[in-house]
Amino acid sequence: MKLKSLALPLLLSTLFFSFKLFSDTPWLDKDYVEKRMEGMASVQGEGPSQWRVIWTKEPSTKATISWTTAKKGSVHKVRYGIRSSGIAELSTSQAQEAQRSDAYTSAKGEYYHHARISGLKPSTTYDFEIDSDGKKSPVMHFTTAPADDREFRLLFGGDSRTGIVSRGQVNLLMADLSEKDDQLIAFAHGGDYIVSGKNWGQWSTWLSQHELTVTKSGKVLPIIPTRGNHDSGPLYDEIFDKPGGKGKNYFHTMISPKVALVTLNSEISAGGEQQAWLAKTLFDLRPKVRWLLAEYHRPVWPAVKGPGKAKNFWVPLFEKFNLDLVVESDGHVIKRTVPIRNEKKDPTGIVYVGEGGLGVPQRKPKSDRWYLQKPGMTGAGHHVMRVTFGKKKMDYEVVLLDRKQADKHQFLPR
Amino acid sequence: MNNRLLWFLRILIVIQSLGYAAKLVGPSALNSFLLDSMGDPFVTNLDGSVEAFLWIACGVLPVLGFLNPPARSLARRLDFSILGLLAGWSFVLAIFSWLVNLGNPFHATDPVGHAVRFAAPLALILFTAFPSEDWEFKVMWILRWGVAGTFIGHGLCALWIKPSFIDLIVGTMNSFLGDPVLTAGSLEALDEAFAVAASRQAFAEAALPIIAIQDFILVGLLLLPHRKMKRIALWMAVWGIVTAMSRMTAYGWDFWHDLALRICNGGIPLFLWCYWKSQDSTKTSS
Repeated sequence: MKLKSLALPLLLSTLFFSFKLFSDTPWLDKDYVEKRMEGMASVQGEGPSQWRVIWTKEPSTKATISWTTAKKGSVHKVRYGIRSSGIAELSTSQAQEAQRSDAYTSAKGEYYHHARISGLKPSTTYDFEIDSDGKKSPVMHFTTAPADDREFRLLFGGDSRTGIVSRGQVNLLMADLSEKDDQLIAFAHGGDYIVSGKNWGQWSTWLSQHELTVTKSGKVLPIIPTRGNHDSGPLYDEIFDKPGGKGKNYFHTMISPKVALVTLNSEISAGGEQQAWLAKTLFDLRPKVRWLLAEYHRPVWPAVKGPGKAKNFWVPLFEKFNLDLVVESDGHVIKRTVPIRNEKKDPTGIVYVGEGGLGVPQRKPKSDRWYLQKPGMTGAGHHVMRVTFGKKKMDYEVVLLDRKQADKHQFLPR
Repeated sequence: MNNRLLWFLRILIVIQSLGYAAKLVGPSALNSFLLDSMGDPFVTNLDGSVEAFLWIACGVLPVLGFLNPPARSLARRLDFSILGLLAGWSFVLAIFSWLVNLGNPFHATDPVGHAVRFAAPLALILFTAFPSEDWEFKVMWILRWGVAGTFIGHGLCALWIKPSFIDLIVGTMNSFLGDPVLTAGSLEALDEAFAVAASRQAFAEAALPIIAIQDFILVGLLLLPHRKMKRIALWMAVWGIVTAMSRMTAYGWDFWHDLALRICNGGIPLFLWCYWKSQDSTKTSS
């Protein structure tokens, strides 16, 4: 009798736990996320932690592998080599010592290390292992950007500054998308990683949680960073190795010979030198590439806030050089504008997407604004944007935490 | 206090409130601060309620000015309540603008830099509630300190080369002299445009510390005890309006609300100048 009465609850709980274990979206369960967060490499002792791969200008041949140690240590290096089989191994490897190591500003003795690797082969998967004074990271891998016109995908997203568990959920979603997709090669973060850019504790949590974007097989999505309004102070340059140069943080990434991403900095002067640099860069890139994109933090066609002050400086250039897609953050919503040219809906215009959902609480978009009307869209929900760059089309989609598609759009070459 | 001057102060507050109301097209700093803990529906409703109040205040304040209700009447209490809430909103926004952007030195100046915005409604309450010379003297000092705070905040941002200040100068130069970057059609023209843009940015970066020093000197002179520096107040009025106007000269008419909510930056120094001038003419005639 007792056994019979226990059987049903036992069966139900087994089913329940099986569902959790084998669910294709286990991160929707916050307990699962917290458990995964407990497993992140802790920043202690002399061993490496908080690893990341950074892409800036030439990702087909260069990458920066960066990490944190709790103490200064003495020898910090990365061993890396081309993946010859499907298994992570470093039998024939090269080594690169960290060229830049120093203490994080306002940290409690933690150090950053940047090993800038060059001479890589395009479209090649590299295994790497970080070694700080003999303490080693797991063997991980990343794939360099292509030097030919093959199809590939990038993830975009911004605003991971609050909502620690939600941030973990989105990171796990990204890892899942990455694991199942060899064509997905990098992730462009649109800024506002944390609340206060000068707070090492917040950055440290973000960096540790970034480990959740690494797949079970050890695939790392290189990050293309953008500075947001909450990322002020020196830590940003210490974490991402001064992308685009200290005080500037704007650059362009030739992701393939036919795809370029221009990363702008909406937190410094948008006019003056940055505007002139943008004009020269777009002038140079437009005839060469099929897909020309720009990314920055503060939206010029916002779905919630007022327009960013960069609008007058940058939008005429976006329109002059016919950008294919512009990615914005900051608003904490999902949006895709109608094509815009000369402050009007125009089929030849520029489409702006965004606006940040990597963990921050979402807002209700102001969907009555003219540029958000159909065929544009608005919505809310934690999300990443996935863009597929093909020869004949560019596919844009918004993936929600439950893997459902919140939006999709197809762009044809201009 | 001269009735015309009270009207002038009231109009400044109405314009400032128009600016605050229009600015609520986007979320306020209070909204951003509370978003995590309270969620979007609450903070959106909060902003919506404040926006409605501000628009109503813009209509009701001039009416109450015309009615000039007696002290202790319900209408007078309503007038004071509205002015008090306007002062409170300006103050709350300045504080939360700092708190939401902790670590950002420019936003850290907001509680000081926005002083004139909450000093103005407070001054109108006090001028009306206590119409004595003794109180007039005290309230004028509140306004002087308010102006001083705003110029100190502006001066600090200029000294630390606030990026948006560079854009205000470069954008204004582009508006009046043309933007060579947008018109360049060849690589050579772009190289030339780059040089022009770089020189305009360099000019702005060189000018800002000088502007900062000027701001600090003006503050020092305005706060000199036993002195009424009329010319200083007039210059601060001109400078305050010019800097507020730069939002429109750099970015266009769409940014009228940025001028409106800074109207007191130049308006209150002008009020000081008018007040001191009226005092002089009263003494001369007597």
